[in-house]
Amino acid sequence: MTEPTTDTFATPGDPGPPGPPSADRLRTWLAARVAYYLERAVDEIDHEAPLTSYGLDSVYAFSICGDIEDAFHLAVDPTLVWDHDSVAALAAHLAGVAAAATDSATDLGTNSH
Amino acid sequence: MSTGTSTITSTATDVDRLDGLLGDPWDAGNPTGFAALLEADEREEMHAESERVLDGYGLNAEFVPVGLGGRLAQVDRLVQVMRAVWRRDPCLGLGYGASSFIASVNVWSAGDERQRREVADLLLANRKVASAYHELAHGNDFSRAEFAAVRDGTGWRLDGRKEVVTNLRRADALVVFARTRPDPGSRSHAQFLVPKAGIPEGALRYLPRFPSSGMRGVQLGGAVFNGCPVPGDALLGDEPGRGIETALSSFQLTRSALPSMCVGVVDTGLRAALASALDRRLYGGAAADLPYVRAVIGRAQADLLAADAFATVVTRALHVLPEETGVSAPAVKYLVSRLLIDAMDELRTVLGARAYLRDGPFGVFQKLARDLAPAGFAHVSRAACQVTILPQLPRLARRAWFEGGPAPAGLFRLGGDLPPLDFGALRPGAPRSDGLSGTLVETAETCSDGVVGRFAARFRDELDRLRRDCAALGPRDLTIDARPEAYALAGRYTVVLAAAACLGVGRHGRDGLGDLDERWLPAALDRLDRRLGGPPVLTEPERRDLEEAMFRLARERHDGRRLLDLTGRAVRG
Ligand SMILES: Cc1cc2nc3c(=O)[nH]c(=O)nc-3n(C[C@H](O)[C@H](O)[C@H](O)COP(=O)(O)OP(=O)(O)OC[C@H]3O[C@@H](n4cnc5c(N)ncnc54)[C@H](O)[C@@H]3O)c2cc1C
Repeated sequence: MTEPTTDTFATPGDPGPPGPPSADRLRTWLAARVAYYLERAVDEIDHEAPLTSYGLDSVYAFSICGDIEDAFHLAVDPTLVWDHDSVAALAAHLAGVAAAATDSATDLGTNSH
Repeated sequence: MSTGTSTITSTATDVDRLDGLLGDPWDAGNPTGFAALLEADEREEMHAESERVLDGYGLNAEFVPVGLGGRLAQVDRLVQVMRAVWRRDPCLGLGYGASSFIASVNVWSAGDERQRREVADLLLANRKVASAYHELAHGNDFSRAEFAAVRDGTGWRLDGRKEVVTNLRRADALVVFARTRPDPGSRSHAQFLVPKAGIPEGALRYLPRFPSSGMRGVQLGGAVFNGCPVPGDALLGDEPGRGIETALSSFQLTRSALPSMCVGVVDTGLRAALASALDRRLYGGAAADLPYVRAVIGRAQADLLAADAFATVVTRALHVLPEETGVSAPAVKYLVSRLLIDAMDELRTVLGARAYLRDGPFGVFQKLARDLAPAGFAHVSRAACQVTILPQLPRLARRAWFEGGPAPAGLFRLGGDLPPLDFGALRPGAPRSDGLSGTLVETAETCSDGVVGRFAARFRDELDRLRRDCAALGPRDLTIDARPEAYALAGRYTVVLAAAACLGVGRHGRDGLGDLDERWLPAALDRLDRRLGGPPVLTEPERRDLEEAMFRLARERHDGRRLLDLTGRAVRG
C-alpha cells in the first residue's frame, strides 16, 4: 500500500488499496492535500483546527471536494468542506460516506465507482 | 425548484408586442424614442413614459417563473425580451428590469413557498425588488461583507451599510445579504427578504444617490440600517449560513443572462455607426465606402455574433447542463462583457466626433457607451470571474478535456424548446465535465475541411495547450494571489469555450438561424482567435472577404430593419 507522502503533488494522490478507506487513512490523505494547497509541511496541519483558520477559502474547498471525488470515487457535495471544517471532521464524515457507498454498491453487485 | 411545464412561455410574439409598444426608437417624434431617452438621461432620471409602457406590458412577469404566474420558462427567451429594452436604454434595462431579476433569483432558488409567492406578487404588480449585496468597503469580496444580522427573539436585527444599490429607495422589498455570525468562511452569511412596509421609522436611513458617469438615470442608492427589526421568516432558506451558497448558485443565471442582454446595446451602437457612415459624405463619397470603415463595422458585427452565440448557448446550458454553468456562466460574464465593450470602442472611431456629441441623431451612442461600461465590473468584476474559473482548470484539464463527450445537440439549437429550469440543479462547486469543450473536440475530429475546419483545429490545439499548462498550475496559482500568467489561462479558456459555442451553433443550430450568411461562423471564430494571438488562421484576402461579408450583413439588416444578432428578428427600427 502506498500512502501519500508529504511531497506535494498536483494530482490527488494515491488513495491506497481498494475498499472503503478508513477514517485514519482519509485523515492522512486529507492532511497531505491541505498541506499541498497551503504550501506547508504536512506535520504543521492541526487535524482539529478549522480549515478557515488557515485561510483556506471557498476556492480551495471546491478543489479539495474535487480531489476527494477523483481519488475515492465518492460523489460529495461541493459545500462539504464548509460544513465539516477540519481534517478530522471531514475524515470522519467521509469514512461514513465511503462505507455506505460500498455497502450499497455491494448490494447491487457493482463496484463502488 | 422546477418551473413546471405550463405552455405560457415568452415567444417571439411577446418580444414583438413589446417592440411595438415602444415603437421606432430612431423616430424623433416617438415619446419613448432615443430623443426622449437622451433628455431623461441629461436630467439624470429614469424615463417616466417608457416606465409606464413597461408597466403596461408587465415586463416584470418575464422574471417570474411560469409556476408562479409569470412568463419565465426559458432564460434565453427572457433575454430576447430584455434585449428589446437594453437596446433602447440600459438604464431601463437595469433600473426598471434586471435589478429586480437579480434580487428575485435569490428567492426562486432559496426562498420558501410563501417568500416566492410574496416576490412574485410584488413583481406581477409592477413593483421593484432591490438586491442589496454591495458594501463599498468590500467590493467583490462579498464573503467579507460586514452588514450584520443578529438574532433577536424569534426575529433578527439588521445593522450596517449597503451602497451603490439599484432602486434601494424606490423598491418595495429588498433582498439583503448579511453576515449572520462573525466566523470567517462560507457559512457565515444569509439573505433576508425585507418588505419595506414592515420597517419602523428611523430603522432605515437613505444615503444620497451615488453620482456616476453612466447609468445616470438609475437610482444608485445607499442605506444605513440601524437595529432594523425583521421577523424570523424573512430569512431565505431553512437556516442561516446558506448565503454564499445561494449567491453562487443563483448568480449563475444572472452572470450569463445580463451580459447576453447587453448584446442589445451593441446592436444599437453598431446601427448608429452604420447609419452615420452611410449618411456622412467625405472625399466625394460616403464614409461607408472607405475600406477601413467597412472593416471596423464588419468586425463589430462579427464580435456581436460571437458574443451572442456564447451567451445564448450558456443561458441554454442553465437548462441542459446546469452542472457546468458554475464555470461557463462566469466565463460569459468575463468574455462577453469585454467583447461588447471593445466593439463599442472600435465603433467610436467610425462615428468620429459624432460619438462625442450628447444630442442629435447619434447622441445615443455616447450614452450607450457610458451605460455599457458597468457590464465589466457591476454585479461581479471580470477579474473576480477569472478567479472563480481558475481553480477549476487543473481538474478540468485532468479529467474533462478530451475525455468526456460533447454537449447535447439541442443545446445549440437556438430558439428551440428546452427542459424546465431547475434552480436546485444550479450548484456551486467543481464541475466534473465540460460538454462545450467536448463539442469542440468532436467538431475538430469530424470537420477538417475548409476555413471552419482550420479554426476547429486551431481551438482544439489551444485546448490541448491549456490542458498541459493548467495541469501544471501550482496551488498558489489557483487563488486570488495567482500570477498574471495564471489569470491569463482562465481568460484563454473562456475564448475556447466561446469558440466551442460558435462551432456548436454552426453545426447543430442552422435551422434556428434563418437566412443568416454562413460566413458568420468563420468571421466570429476569427475575432475570437485574434484574442488568443498566435499565427493567424486566415490569409489576409480571406479575412478581408469575411469582414466585407459581415459589413454587408450589417447593412442588409440595418436597411431591412432587423436585429443584428443571431435571431435577425424584424423590428420597428
Ligand atoms: C450601475 C451599477 C449598478 C449597481 N447595482 C447594484 C445593486 O443593485 N446591488 C448591489 O449590491 N450592488 C450594485 N452595484 C455595485 C457593484 O456590484 C459593485 O460596484 C461591484 O461589484 C464592485 O466593484 P468594485 O470595482 O468596487 O470592486 P472591487 O472588488 O473593489 O474591485 C476593484 C478592482 O480590483 C480587482 N479585483 C477585484 N476582485 C478581484 C479578484 N477576485 N481577483 C483579482 N482582482 C480583483 C479588479 O481589477 C477590480 O476591478 C452596482 C454598481 C453599478 C456601477
